[in-house]
This record gives sequence, C-alpha cells and structure tokens, in this order.
Amino acid sequence: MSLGREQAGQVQQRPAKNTSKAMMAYLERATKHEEFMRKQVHEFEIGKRHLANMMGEDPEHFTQEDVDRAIEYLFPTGIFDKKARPKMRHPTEVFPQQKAAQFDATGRPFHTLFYTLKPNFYMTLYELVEKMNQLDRLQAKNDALGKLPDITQKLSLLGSEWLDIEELGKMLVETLKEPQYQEFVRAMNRLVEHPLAYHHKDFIFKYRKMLRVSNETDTVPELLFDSAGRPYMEATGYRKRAVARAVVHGRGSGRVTVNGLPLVHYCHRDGGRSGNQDVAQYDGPTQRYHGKRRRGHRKRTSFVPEPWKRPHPVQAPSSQAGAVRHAVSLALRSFVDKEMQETMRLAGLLTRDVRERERYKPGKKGSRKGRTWKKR
Amino acid sequence: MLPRCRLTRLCRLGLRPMSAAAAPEPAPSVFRTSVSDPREHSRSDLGRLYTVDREDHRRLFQVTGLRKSLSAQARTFCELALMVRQPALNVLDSLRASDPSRPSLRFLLYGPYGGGKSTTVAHVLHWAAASGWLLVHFPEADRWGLRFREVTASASDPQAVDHPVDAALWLAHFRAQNAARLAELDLRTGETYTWSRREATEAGSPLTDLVELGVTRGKHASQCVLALLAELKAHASAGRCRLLMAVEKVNAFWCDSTARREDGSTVKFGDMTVIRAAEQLLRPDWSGGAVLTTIAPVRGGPEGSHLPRHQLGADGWRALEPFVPIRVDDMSRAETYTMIDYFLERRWLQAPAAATERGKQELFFRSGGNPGKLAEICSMY
Repeated sequence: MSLGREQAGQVQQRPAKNTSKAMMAYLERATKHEEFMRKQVHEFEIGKRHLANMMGEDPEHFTQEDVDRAIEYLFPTGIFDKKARPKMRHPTEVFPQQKAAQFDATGRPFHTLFYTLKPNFYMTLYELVEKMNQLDRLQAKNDALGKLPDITQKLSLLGSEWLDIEELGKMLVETLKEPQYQEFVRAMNRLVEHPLAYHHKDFIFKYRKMLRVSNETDTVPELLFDSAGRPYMEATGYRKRAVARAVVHGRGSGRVTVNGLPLVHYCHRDGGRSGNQDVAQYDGPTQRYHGKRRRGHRKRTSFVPEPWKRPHPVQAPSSQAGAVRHAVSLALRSFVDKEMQETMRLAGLLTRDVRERERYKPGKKGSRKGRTWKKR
Repeated sequence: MLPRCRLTRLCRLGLRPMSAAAAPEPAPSVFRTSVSDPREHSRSDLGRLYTVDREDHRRLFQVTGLRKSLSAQARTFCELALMVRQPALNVLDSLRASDPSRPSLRFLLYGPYGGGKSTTVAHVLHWAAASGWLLVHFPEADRWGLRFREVTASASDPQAVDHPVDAALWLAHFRAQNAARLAELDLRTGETYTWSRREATEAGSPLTDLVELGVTRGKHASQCVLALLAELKAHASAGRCRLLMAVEKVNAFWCDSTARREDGSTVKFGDMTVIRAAEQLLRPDWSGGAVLTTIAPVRGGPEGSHLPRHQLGADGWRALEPFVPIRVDDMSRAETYTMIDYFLERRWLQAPAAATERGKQELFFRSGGNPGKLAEICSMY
C-alpha cells in the first residue's frame, strides 16, 4: 500500500475494521496455502539432497529423472498401474494449484477482470483479441507496402491438438464450462487461420499439446532385395503367445501360404481368418504381394501354473491369426506410402495386442469364474 | 455353391428369385463360352463358364448328384454354369483316347477342400452322357455309412447290411440319368435273379426291370443295385455299352460307418451291399468304360494330409492302384475373376466395389482362389 493513501488521510479504513469475516477467512486460507506450499517445496528440496547422498550422487546436479530412478530402486514394486507406484515429485505436480490471494486486505482485487469470476480465462481471450487486432493492423501495413506473408514460417498444427477442457482449466486454475471452452477453441482457430499467425506462435502453442507419436511408425524399415532383384520384407508379429514370422514379396502372385499351406486351408474356421481380411481391405494392391509365414510359440518365462493349466504348445487359431495379421501388416508398411501407413496405424493393424490370458486365482475355477455357491 | 439359407433370405427381402421365363438371356461375354456341348470343349474354352442345357441338367442332376451349394446356386441363377478347367479337360482327353477293349481306366481327383473336384465330376458326367455312355454315379459315398436313412441286415448275408430307402433313391437317380440311353441300348439281364418265392427277374429281361423293381421294392433295392452293376459290368466288357462310374469321396469305402449291428459291432463300409456293388466296378477286371473317383476328408477318416495315399489308407490304396491321379487345385487369378464376373452378371454381387479391380483383388486374396471359399465369401455380402 503506497504512502500516498495514508497521506491522503484515512481514505482507506484500517484493515481490521473494513475487512469482513469472510474476506479474512479467505485471505487466511490463501496465505496458509502459500505457507504450506513453501514448506512442501523446502522439504522436497531437502529430501532430494538426502536422496542424492543416499545414492552417492552429487546433490547439486540431482535431476527429477535421477529422483525417479532412485525411488524405483529403493521402493521396488510390482503394482501394475504405473500411477499407483511410489513416486517423489515436486509439490506443484502433486498438490492441486490454488489461486493466491485475489484481493488485498481492503478487498480490492489485483486482477482487472476479477469480477468476471474467471479472470485468467477472460484475460486469455482478451489477449487473443488483442493479438488478432495487432495482426490485422500488421497485415494492413504489409498490404500497403505490398509485402506478402512469409509462407516458410506458416504455422503447422500437425501433430498437436488444443488442450482439452480439463487441461486448460488446470493451466488457468479455473473450472471452465463447455460453452466457454468451445468459445475459446473457436477464437483460437480464428487466430490460427490468420495468414500472419506465426508471429504469435508461442502464444498459440502455449495452449496446444503435442500428440504422442508412436515408436513403430517412426522407423519403417527399408525394403530388402533378394538375389533376383525382387523387393521383400520380413516382420514378426505377436498375439497372446503366438509368434508369426512373415515374409512378404513384392511383384508376387497375391497368394498367401502359412507353414506351407494356403492361408484359406490353414485356417478352416473363419474366426481365425477375419483379422487377415482387414489387412486385405486396408492394403491397396494386394496382388503385388505373396507372403509366407511361419507360426511358432513363445515360451512363457514367468510363473508356471498347475499342470492342467499349462499353455498348449500350439496356440489356438484365433491368436495365431492375430499374430499373422500383425506380422503381415508390419511387413507391408515398407511397401506402402505414408498415407496408407497412417491408415493402417489408425486401423490398429500395427499395434501389438497386449491382451494376455488372465492368471488363475486360488479359490476360483479360472481367472474369474467362482466355485459353485450353495445357499445352505 | 451358395447356401440354401441365402435363397430364403432373398425371399424375405422381397426379392424373388428369377423365374425361368423372366431370367435374362445370358449375353455373350468374355467369361462365358457359347459351346454348351461338352464333347466340343477344348483348350480355347479353358477358364470360361459353359451353361448346361436345361434338359441335361434336369436329367442328370434332378434327383441328386450336385453339391448342395452348387444346386442352390443353379436354382438361384436359373441355370447351371460350370467352369471348363484343365483337370476336366485332362480326364476328357484320356477318355476320348481310351481303348474300350482294354481294362477300364481309373482316375482319382484330389486337391484342397472346395477346390472343384465335384464340379469336375459333373462336367465329365455331362460329357459321358452326351457321348452316349451309361452313368453309374455315387455323389457322396460317405452318406451310405454316415448319414444314411435306414439300414437293415441283409437277407442273403447276415453280416452284410442293406439300405432299403437309400438304394431305392439311388436307383431313381440312376434311372433319371440313364433311362433314355438304356431304352436305346435295350440291354438284357444275363441270369435269373430270385428275390423271393414269388418274385424273380428272369434272364433276358430288360435291365430297366431291375431298376424298376429296386425303385418300388426297397427291401430288394440293395440287391438290385448289386445285380444291376454286375450286369452293366458284363455288358461293358462285352462291348455292348460304354460305362462311366463316378464315385465321390471314395476313400469312405475303407472307413468305419456309424451303423452298428444288434450285437454292437461296427459295420464297415465294405460290409454294405451297395458298396460291394460299387466295388465290383472298382476292380480292374472289366473293360469298356472308366472309373472316376474323388477323395475328400470324411468324418471318421484319417486326419492329416489330404493326399491320396493318406486318405485312402493301405486297403484303399491297394484296391485302387494303379490309377491316374489328377490334382484339382484352387483357381488361378484369371479363373477367379471369371467367377466374380459371373456373379456380377447374375446380379448376385451388387456392391459397386466388387466390380472394381481393387475389389476383385481383395476377393481373390480373401478366397485364395478357392472356389468354395469364394462362393462362401460372396454369399455373406
């Protein structure tokens, strides 16, 4: 509070008299939270140093990655869900952010848009419009000079998308409603459409999240060539505990053999073959290829159950077919263009189906089925 | 080649199958050949479909004789169209060149399931009928021991087994296929057959009497078959007629049937009178004709390889050897496209995508060129 106020002679009353109980409570809560967070951060930093000493590392250069590794080492766990495992993170990641005191002791809010009840959100929109107007002025100036927008710097939104309503709310520390979020997205899209939008790239990308790019599509192997000069590709596919090795030849007959037999005759029941039909649908010129696969069985290395529940040496037709489908799809990637590869990825042909057989539990007949229940 | 349920589904959709009168005249096109007389089929007709004349179709296959799916397809499309393929032409060439004075040739068709063995047999039967041969056709040999209607202990041999109903039906089928030709040839029995104290067929009676008796008197039907085939064998060897016996799924002859005697013992196929009748003609001790057989996996038969030696077993191999093995394989790409064009022309395949190159490629890939599989896939859409 500036000297000016006090000198002006009691323009403001003393805090103790004008501040209502509610306001006092609110201020108290806000300051308490700040105190709490400060303490937590302090403890975290101390804890990090202790951890570094325990691990024999340099406390000064102990990063979060090192912390994660140390925790994993000191607290080994077999919990399936990664989110349930022990971790040590910075308090800002652990505790939900609360807003600091929004108004001073006299009740005067700090933020101009405080009375909109979502000041951060409306501030963002306000900034957005400001930027739009600025770009319009810039464009007018450029038109006068005869300058065109720089195409090389054109914004590419590929591989990213707008933060969803929850993420945006978390970022702004305000709960947004659906219409407000829609408004936001519409406005941002308008900004992005502006030819000079690249000037505000940072602002735009603050509200965009990058989509996770899967590892498999990153490295599509190059085609191999056999002695006759024909292109071919090998790939291995998995499903449950079936392993399939596929060799797909380009400029082939269009026929498929599995372990020496034509595909049609190997899988005499349709349930086994349906997966491969999908491959045919997504791949364009199937006549270019002919494939050979070999199916095997992967050995189980972990807990071996009772003898009557041991895995069958040859997997059932459906999982074999799933493995073959996976193998063939992976092999076909090398033959098709990027667009088709993306289509295949979206169709799920390239993803290894991680579903495995659920373990047997004592007291149950199988993994879920219970014993016969008798009322008396 | 289309399941019967498809027909009823069409009816439920309000689409009635084309009546014979309303069916459009098949336009001349690349995938059809206008040569409908199998005697004139040659290399130039390979991979194309020919239409079996309506009268011939009725005569040869009215009672039975075609696979259920092929028969349903013929009903739906108002015509029986068969593809002219290499295995059939091979058999026809051999039959045309065969010497009637020499022991009868035995052919064995083998190949993947749904590959077209039965259809090849139908084509050869049509040729034989057009060429004036007599036909002895057992469409599904395994039915006699697995899905028979009724079996009774034989009167003559207590260990043997008769088929009162099935044998009578078979004789009706024989009659339909051969009535005209038998009347022309006017063949007579060589000996007297006594059925009971009051019934007998004298020597010198027309063979049609044997047939009629069997059709009307189920009790004696199996014995009639035995007698009939013995007579035909003698006539063929004597040069009075040419005879083609076609047995599909012949490997069933050396399996166990599901019939049980009263004492619980299993009846083998070889204990059945009708099978014994057919086995007379399987022996290489007659001339003036040929034997066309097919092997196919049967229930109760050996699992594993579908090749002749494994499916026939030691006994069957010994009985049939030496034979001319003919492999009936899945269709080539061109043949598959022909079938698809035919389905399109008959307005069976209606999705526009089926007519495109891409669509045909996909159908070929999914069916692997297997005719049975292709028809199964097409009927799902």
